[in-house]
Amino acid sequence: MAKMRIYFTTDIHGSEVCFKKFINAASFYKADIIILGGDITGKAIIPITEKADGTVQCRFLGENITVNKGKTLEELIQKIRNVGFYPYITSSAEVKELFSNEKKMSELFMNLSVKELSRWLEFTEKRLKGTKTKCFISPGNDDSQIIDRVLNSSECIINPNEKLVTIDGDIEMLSLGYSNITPWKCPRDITEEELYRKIDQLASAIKKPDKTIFNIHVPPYDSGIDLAPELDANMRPKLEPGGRVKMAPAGSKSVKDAIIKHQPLLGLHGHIHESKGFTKIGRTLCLNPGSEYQEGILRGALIQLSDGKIKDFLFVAG
Amino acid sequence: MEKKEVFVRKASGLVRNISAWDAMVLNIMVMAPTAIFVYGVWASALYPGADLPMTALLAIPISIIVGLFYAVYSAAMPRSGGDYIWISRTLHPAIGFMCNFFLFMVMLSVAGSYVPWFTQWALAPILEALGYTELASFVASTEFTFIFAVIYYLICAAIISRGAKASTIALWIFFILVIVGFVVYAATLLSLGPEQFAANFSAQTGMNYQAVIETAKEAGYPGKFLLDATLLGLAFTYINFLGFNSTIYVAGEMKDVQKSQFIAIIGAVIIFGLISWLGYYATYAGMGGTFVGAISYLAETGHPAYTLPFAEPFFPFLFRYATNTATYCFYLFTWSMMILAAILTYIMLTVRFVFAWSFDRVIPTALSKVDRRYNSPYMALIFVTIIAIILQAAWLWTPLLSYFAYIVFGWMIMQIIASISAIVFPYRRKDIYEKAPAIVRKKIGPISVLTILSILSIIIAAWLGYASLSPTMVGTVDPIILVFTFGLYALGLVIYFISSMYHKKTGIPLELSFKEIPPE
Repeated sequence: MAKMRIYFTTDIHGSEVCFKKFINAASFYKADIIILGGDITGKAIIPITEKADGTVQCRFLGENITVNKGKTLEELIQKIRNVGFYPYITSSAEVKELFSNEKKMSELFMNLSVKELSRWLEFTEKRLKGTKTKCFISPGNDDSQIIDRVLNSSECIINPNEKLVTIDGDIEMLSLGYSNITPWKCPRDITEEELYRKIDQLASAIKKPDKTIFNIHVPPYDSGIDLAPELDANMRPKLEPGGRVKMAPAGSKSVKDAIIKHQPLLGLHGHIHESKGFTKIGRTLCLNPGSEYQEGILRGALIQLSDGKIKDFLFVAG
Repeated sequence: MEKKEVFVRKASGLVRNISAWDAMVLNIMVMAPTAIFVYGVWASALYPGADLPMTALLAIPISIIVGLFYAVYSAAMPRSGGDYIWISRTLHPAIGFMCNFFLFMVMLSVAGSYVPWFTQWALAPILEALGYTELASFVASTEFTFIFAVIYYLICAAIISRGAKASTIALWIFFILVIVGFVVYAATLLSLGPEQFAANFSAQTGMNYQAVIETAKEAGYPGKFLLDATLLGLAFTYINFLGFNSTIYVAGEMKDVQKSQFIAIIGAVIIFGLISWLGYYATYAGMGGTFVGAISYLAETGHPAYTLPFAEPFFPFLFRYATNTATYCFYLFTWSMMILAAILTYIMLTVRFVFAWSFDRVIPTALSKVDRRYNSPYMALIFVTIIAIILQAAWLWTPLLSYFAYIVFGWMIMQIIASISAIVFPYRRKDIYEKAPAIVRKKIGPISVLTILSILSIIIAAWLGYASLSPTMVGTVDPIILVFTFGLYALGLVIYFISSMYHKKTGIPLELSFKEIPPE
């Protein structure tokens, strides 16, 4: 294909409205290829409990909310899903039990992640089936391995994680959802050595580096698109004089080394929400569109390719 | 969120950077505290009978209303870029850019007008008071003012290039010096009393304190405080409050932004208002309110009885008759720090604007290059410094500055556009509105608080825009300057559309930047 438009977004963290926007981005931006770069699943569950008078209640966005069952409850559930949380209708007794049983809580998270993702893929199928859009969705370091089988089971999306795939013509894409170790010890945090080994292994099969895209969740180290607050042992941000938070590069040295070594056409990254930006490492343009998922805004980047070269790019907030 | 009401798993989190207190200092410094000591003389002269301390007290609630509007709107979209982002998202990116470009020009024009304040109203009087008369006239010259401007803009660039931490430290140092000087000024005047000041003034100036009041009365000065004059004079005091909402442009970097924005904006208004009130009050208590009004009136009407060695009797100048030379010089020095701090904040904010435009591809991406060591946008900084120096030369050697006479009017247009965007926000960006914090969605009856605040903000902006164009304030309204003011907006639109056409040609229309993707 001489001309190709790619839409890339990342870090939607369970926000259903952002996911739907991602799928609709294909027609909205007239994109040939849409890529979701990881961190798909939600971070919190909102328990909704029934009261004696038949209404249901929960605490959401700092407010105590009581609604009647039926349409208003459905609307509340949708609102919860849209900010990236999982609604869970339960009893007060179960809430108590879940708080005291970490294993059960963890299982619940897994089950809800799978259930909600499956719903999203049904939506995807309805929208993309029969279209020419290629949709790539890979997990990120925040996502449990359990979602891989859900992603792999879908016929209308491609999970490119840990693969080198041809996305169009001679344009290839190397994808990795892993990150170097974070303070949160997320499910796909691995050491720099492991990360480098994985990238190198995949990169060894690249046919034309200058026509290859690195879709790697974690951005390259000290690239300006990887600035995050430095944390102390208690996971609190370190402060400088005057109360300012100390920022430090939190990207991956392995990713940077790999980009310097292979000089791909484009680097698509996410992981650090507050570090939206672009940078050039040698001839490689690296992008991090950042994330604003909690406000329901889907941050992304449009990349226009022409004859295998980047003609233009634009950060968008849809 | 309550821990026992929501299940939260371990996951990476987003943390923001600027504290509420740093943000408040930024707002205060943009407002230029104690610049009121210059504006007050103009208010007294143009609106004889204006009660200046009262204008400061009245400006506080008015600023709080407008401040609440900006704080609530910022809570809905806590993104760096402030009204540029809000207007772009709710109305059109071209309108957002147009407003932001206008503010960019306003800030650099104000910076250009402030440099002579430093050389001619602070440095020269200090040297003159110390007996270096020739040196004083040299530093007050246009040539020296330009050389100083270039040097200071380069110092600002050096500070900003060392990252946000260096700029914050510089602002705190300026803030402390301004406050120390202000305390000296207020304490001296409050302990002095008008009788002693009158004796000093009469002995040192060759003018008679009581005769100043009598002559002014004979010339038409009312000799007492009038409510209508006070309400009109309020416009001048409020002009000095402008800038209290500057932290909306750094919202994306503020810690606990929804709470911090309220502290930063409302706190800045209250502190600035109290400083202004105390400054005016101490001036009246130490020099006599009637005398201050009378001498301002004589100076501004060009009365021959006004024979002081300075063109306008700004309070820092009159302070020399209230104290000894050393204290006077120390005070003028600290007062001048306000000028330098304000210029630094203007450069800081305009650099951010250029950086954001470059990010959004409206202007070339080369201007968003960042220095890795200090994370400072050095290309935007070089660009702004060059523009500031060019404009400074234009201010000093051409009549360009006079074309910026209606910037308050233009600023109010911007406030009205931002307010309109807030009114339509719940309908045009329902997706964001519904997920906004409770404070944004709060309603009084059927109308949202944000809408009420927006309407009040429009009323205040319309009043101030009108007042800033009133013949008393600007003389006869000059249609050429009015066209120039609108022309600045038009220039923003032209830049946007040229860029838009270029990107359409290369592949991706700029208009897509802020368009919402329909979720269903």
